[in-house]
Amino acid sequence: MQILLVEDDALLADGIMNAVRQAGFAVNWLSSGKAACTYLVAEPPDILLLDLGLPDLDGMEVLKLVRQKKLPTQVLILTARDSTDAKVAGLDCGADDYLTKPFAREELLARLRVLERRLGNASSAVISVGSLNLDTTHQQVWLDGEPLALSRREYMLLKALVEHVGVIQTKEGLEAKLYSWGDEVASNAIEVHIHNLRKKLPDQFIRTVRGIGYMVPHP
Amino acid sequence: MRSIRRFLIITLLAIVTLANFVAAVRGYLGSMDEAERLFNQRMMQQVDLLNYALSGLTEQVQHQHDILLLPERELDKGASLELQWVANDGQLLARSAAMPTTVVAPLKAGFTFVNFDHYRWHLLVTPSADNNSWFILAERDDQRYRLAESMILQAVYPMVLAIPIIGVVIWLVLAIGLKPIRRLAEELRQREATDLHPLDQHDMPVELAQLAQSANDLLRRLGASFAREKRFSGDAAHELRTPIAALKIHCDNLLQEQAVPSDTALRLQAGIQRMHYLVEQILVLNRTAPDHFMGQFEPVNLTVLVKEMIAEHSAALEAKHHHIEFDGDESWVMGDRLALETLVNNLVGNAIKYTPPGGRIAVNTWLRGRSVVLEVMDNGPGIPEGQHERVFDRFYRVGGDRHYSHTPGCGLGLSIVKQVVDLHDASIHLTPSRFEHGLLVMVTFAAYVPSAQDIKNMRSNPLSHTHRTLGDDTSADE
Repeated sequence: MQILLVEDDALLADGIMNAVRQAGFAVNWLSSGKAACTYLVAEPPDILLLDLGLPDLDGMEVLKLVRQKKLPTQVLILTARDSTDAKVAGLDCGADDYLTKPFAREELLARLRVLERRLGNASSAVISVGSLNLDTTHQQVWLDGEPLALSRREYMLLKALVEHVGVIQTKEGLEAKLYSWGDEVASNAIEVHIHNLRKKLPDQFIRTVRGIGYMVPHP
Repeated sequence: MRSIRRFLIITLLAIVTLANFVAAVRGYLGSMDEAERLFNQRMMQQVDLLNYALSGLTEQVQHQHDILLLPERELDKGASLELQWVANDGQLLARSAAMPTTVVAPLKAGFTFVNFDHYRWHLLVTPSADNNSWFILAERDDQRYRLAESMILQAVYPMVLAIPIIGVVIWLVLAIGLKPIRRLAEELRQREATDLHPLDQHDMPVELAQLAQSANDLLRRLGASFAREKRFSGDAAHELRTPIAALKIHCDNLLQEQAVPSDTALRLQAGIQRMHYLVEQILVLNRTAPDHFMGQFEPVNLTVLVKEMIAEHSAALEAKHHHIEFDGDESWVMGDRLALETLVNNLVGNAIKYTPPGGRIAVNTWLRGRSVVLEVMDNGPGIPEGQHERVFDRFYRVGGDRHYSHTPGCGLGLSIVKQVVDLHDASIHLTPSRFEHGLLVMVTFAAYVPSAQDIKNMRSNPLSHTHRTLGDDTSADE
């Protein structure tokens, strides 16, 4: 997994490289936007960690170049600009994810893992929570080494929960992930699926947060 | 307060009155002299008439014993002309009824004044044409004076009457003339504090155009300095966030490298966290300040927003083993999404921070008629009643810096909440919690009734589940 970091602040770049290397990624660093453009075209990395506030060239220009040349690169924007407009502009320009400075090391690594999964790297397509393994490539689930038979919606629901261990998922958020706009969604659809999932999973695997949603806690 | 209009009205009226008065006095005096001359002329004409009528009759009349008495004529107005006809030797030949039987003045030709019969008289003493007799014509001075005066006053009255009319006209003309000033003042008064558009100089009188030009120059300079300041906040955000990000990731790396995290590293992490929090809060305070606020109001589903914000606090809730519950009606308000997120974040964040581990937190959004009530309630220590007002002050912390919970904070959280509340014309109220102890914060907004389009927009909002806001990872580490 090749990562290119484009960041003009040397101290921050140094810290990010240490963190990313410790997590087992290979990373190169460039401090200028123009150099990044040359490098990107010559040798497209798997993931581009891009700071928007570069001294010589706006990071958005680098992002536009990646999309124009249709490079096979996932782009994670790192920036101090936190307004909704800036986020929308970044995502509209073709960024895959967005991280606002300052961020926690674990958050950066978690997002890198998500991008890695999207790239279809088989080794990281399995999400593990305790004795449960969820293979996103083959859409299969094992519990204690035994395969688990789940309906399509149950699988999607479980995936949405285990992808964010320790984070509450709101009922509305889950509905949006499971159903398209046109679908008729019964008001208790999520509850029913959760109920069915719980019968197949260990006790307390999925926790209810009253009035808000559900969460798979850290094991 | 000084008023140009009042000043002009009073000054102009005073000038007009004074000028009229001077003119009237001058006219009065001049007219009196003229009247005097006219009356005297009339007397002389009378003498001519008498000469013509009585010439040659002197001898004849002198031989009669009786004095010829001219009948008295009652005059309702004006001055009656009286007469004495005297022979050269002083014998009275004829007199009018109002005249005494003695000759009233020495027989010396000319005009003179004589007092008799309780009045002052104008006399014309003149010899007759045949030099045989004298005519004495007399007019009462007071009658003459009254007649002249009444004639002159007739002429002066309109001038006096004109003063109030002129006053009203001046008042109206000034009202019309000063209208552009009032319009300019009104335009400036109705402006928002953030509206720095130049004034419209079209149709403006020359005098005001100059003022408007100066005002526009000022507005432009002000706008430029606002823009500079706004850029400065943005720059400051970037400049401060990048080094904090660098510190943070190095500190995280350090903790990762140590098998057992050292106290020093953990304290370093807490310090960085606190610095990050303070910087972010100051930036939010700046961004939601009424004079700088640049956000846009849109329909916001407060219920969904609240749930998302609670989900953002998952890690902190987990770390402190709090039990959190949400209940309520689906409620919409008109508001700025980012500002509302900050509001909910700060309230929920406070509840999590100040409630001892294993506490209870309840969040609700209720529809109450035309209002939406957001409630955040905990069973923490609460805030003493006397400090309810002060907690909204900047940098104020309950219990001072030695807060019993040793919770890091900067005392800006509730100031920001108050600012966002004011921005939305909402109201905030602190009361004791419905739990056995603790704090209940109630924020009351005007309810918004969502259209079908609003509901559809909400479902397709790509950011509603991905964006991160202030306070999530900060509280996560406490």
